[in-house]
Amino acid sequence: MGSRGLILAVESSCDETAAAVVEPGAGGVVLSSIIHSQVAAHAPYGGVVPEIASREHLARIDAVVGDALADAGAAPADMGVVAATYGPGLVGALLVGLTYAKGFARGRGLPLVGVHHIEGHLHAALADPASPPSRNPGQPFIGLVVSGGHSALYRVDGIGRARLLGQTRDDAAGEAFDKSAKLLGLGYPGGVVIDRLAQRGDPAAIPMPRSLRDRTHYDFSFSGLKTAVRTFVEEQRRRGVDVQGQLLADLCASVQEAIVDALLHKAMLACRRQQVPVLVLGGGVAANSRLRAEAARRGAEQGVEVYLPPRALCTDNAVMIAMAARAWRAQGRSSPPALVAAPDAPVEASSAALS
Amino acid sequence: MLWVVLDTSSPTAVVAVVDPDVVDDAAVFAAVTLAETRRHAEALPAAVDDVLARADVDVGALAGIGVGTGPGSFIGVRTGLAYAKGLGRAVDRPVVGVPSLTAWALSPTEPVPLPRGRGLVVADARRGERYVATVTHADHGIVVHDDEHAVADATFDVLDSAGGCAFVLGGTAGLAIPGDVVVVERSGPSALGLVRALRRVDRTDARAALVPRYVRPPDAKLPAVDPARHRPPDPAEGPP
Repeated sequence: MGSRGLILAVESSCDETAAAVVEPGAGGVVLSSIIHSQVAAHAPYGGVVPEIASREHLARIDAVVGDALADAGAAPADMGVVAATYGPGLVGALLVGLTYAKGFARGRGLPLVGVHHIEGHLHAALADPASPPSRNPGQPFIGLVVSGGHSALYRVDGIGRARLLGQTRDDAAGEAFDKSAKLLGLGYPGGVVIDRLAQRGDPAAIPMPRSLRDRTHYDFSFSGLKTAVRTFVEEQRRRGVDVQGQLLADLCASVQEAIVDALLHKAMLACRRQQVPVLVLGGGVAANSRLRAEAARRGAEQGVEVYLPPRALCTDNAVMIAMAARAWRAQGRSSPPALVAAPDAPVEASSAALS
Repeated sequence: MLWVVLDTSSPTAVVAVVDPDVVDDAAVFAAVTLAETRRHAEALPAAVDDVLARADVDVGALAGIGVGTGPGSFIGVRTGLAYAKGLGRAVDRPVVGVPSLTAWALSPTEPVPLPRGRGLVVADARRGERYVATVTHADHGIVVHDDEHAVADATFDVLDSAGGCAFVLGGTAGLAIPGDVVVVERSGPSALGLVRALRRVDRTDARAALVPRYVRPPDAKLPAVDPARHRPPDPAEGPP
């Protein structure tokens, strides 16, 4: 009886190779989290190249897992569960982490848990070391997952019971940040730069479009923002004005405000309509300081409890995969060894990955 | 000491429990071949369970894991390597890379006797190309010359490339081969071929040097895929 029953989780759905070790007791205690970003490998190509991503994952996965075990002060024999993202994502990239996890699970005779990437993001807020387990969100909750690839609202009644309420009809919120930053020559990734510049800008200075404000659905649209930014910049140029200094800060604050307002308008609408006064954020954009502050402010104002993941767990990581796997194990569920990577897996079907 | 060996880089995958330290006739304890070309990742775990059960060996008692490093299907190569690395980490045993075309070359060819002399090992590389290794069948056995292998046009001239060619072994469909050249059709290594190839590599812990033989560079032409959305960038979006 040597095993400590720890959860080893791996995540390889896009361009981060990640592993984490989580103690499942006491609401889930994070013992280690290692993230190897491939940004440098893809940078010359201006985006993620799937075959390069797959090769990088294979080259790094074993060292990343080794580091996660070492940081946790744990041996393979201390593991009780192995979890991996099975989808959605790049199929070749998913395959590396999932197959590595299968090999590890076989080596120790452990259950394998295939986790849906979005359910991972919805569970990231549960891993907040600053928040005691008693402060964890109850169920059901409304989940808002916002990143460079996703902008969607879910109603979550438990693991395997997430239902899509609405999503972006065009650009994701993270894309809106990145494309605006690119138009302004601010580099990539744009969200972080805009967040910083916006701190000294006036969010009401420049009118930005707020699309799909109607209350008949929970969808978003962000593609109008980049057009508005481009039009504004061109207009200033014609007048001989360079968009820099305070004007740039004001523009960044205004764009950011439009994105944050659109997201929270629909999120709060969902909380009211669904009569679920709990909102959980996840995804890379959930690290945005304005979104975090404004979510907390509106939550307090409207009687909605708001849960934010630690900033380090907003972008892709394996802790969130471990937290979701922990919830599945609480129900005694595990995945068959024949589980396949599912690049387009819908969140509503996540329980099909387990038996 | 028993090893698990596996190769999923080729159309016919193989998984086996073997003892590289005993003679050929006794080296393979249990073996499974996976003929389904596109489902190796799905079938691999059950195949490993199967050979371990039939060899009656606990995974913790293994001395190591040998894995085919290709060349072959990129996804197939990664499937075997990822599984082997995970298994090796869990049981803390060496994971040793085995060049796949060497294992093809060392697989028994009965009932066709292999002639002495120069020969080629060829495997489908898709997109109208083949992976090629040159070998010599000498009195003391088969010598593999170009360990790193090469990519050739699918219709390359067999006689030109080998400097005299007595046999061609592997996926030969579509190749123009002279009548006096012995042809051994094969779509992957056998378990015995893997054991023989494993004997030729350093079996101490080589996990760090466990490098896949992709041979070809990745396709990395623009436009690339957008980070999370998995779709090309919006072409309408120009510089400001």
